[in-house]
Amino acid sequence: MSDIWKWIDENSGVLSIILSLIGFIILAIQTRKARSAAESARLATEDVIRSVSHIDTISDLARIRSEMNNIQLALRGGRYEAALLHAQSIREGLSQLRSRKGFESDKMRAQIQLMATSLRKLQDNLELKLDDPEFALSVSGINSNLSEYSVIISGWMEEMRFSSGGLQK
Amino acid sequence: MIPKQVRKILQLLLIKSKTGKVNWLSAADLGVESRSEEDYSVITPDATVNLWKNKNDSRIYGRILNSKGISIFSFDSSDDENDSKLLNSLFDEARTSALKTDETLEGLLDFLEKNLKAESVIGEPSLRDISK
Repeated sequence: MSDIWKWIDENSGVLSIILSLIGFIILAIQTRKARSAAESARLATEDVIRSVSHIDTISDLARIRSEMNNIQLALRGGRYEAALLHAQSIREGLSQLRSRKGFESDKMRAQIQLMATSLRKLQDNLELKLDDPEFALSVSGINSNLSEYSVIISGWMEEMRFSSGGLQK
Repeated sequence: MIPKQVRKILQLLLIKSKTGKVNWLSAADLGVESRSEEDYSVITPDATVNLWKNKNDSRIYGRILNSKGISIFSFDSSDDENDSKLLNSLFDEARTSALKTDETLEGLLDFLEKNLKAESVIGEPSLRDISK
C-alpha cells in the first residue's frame, strides 16, 4: 500500500496533467454539443422566419394581383377615382417587394420598375380624365396590359410557393 | 438649365443609346396611351428616364422617376442651348430605338433588293381582291 502512495506521490505531476487533459476534453465535448444545439436552434429560427417571410410575400403578391383586378373593374365601371387609388396602392405594394428575398436581382427590380412606370403613366392619364371627361382613355388596352401584369405576378407567386419548400404539402 | 448630375446621366444614356444597346420603350409598349405626341422611356432596375414631346411644341420634356414611380426630377429643352442639343439627340435615339427605325428600314431595303429582279409581285393585295 505504501508503494502505491509512494508511486502516486512521485508521479502526481504527470497524473494532474492527465486529469486536466481528460477534464479539458470532456469540457470541449460538452461545449461543442451545447454550441451545435444553439446553432440548430438558430437555424430553425431562421427557417421559420424565412417561411413566414415567404408567406408574407405571397400574400402581398396576391393583394397586388387583386388590386389589378380592382382597377380593371373600376375602369369598366367608369370609376376613375377608384382606379387611381388602386393604382397607387399597387405602386406602394410593388415598391415593398424590392427588399424581399427573390426580388433583389436587377432583372426582377427592372420588371417591378416597368410596372411602376406603367402604373404611374396610367395614373397621369386617370388624373387627366378626371380633370377633363372628354379625354379619351382606352379601357380595353389598359385592361389587357393589366391582365399581362397579373399573369406575371401569378408566375412570381408560383415561384415563391415552390421555392419556400413545403407550402404545397 | 439641367443640373450637372442629371446632364451627366443623359450624356451617358446618349452614348449608350448610340451603340444601339438601350431599350427605349414607347408609351404603347408600356400599355398606356400617351397624352403627348411622342413619349419614350428607358427602364432601369431602380429608375426610369422618360422623354416626351407635345403636339405643336418643339420643346422636349423629361423626368426621372424613382423606384416608387415618383417623379424626382423634371426638365425641358427650353432654357439652354446645350441642354436643347443634348435632349434633341437623345430624343432622336430614343425614337429610333423604340420604333425600331433602323431595323425596319434595313429589312425593307433587304426585301426590295432581293425581289428587285424577281417576277413575283410584292405587296399584299387588298382584302377585297383576295375575296374575288
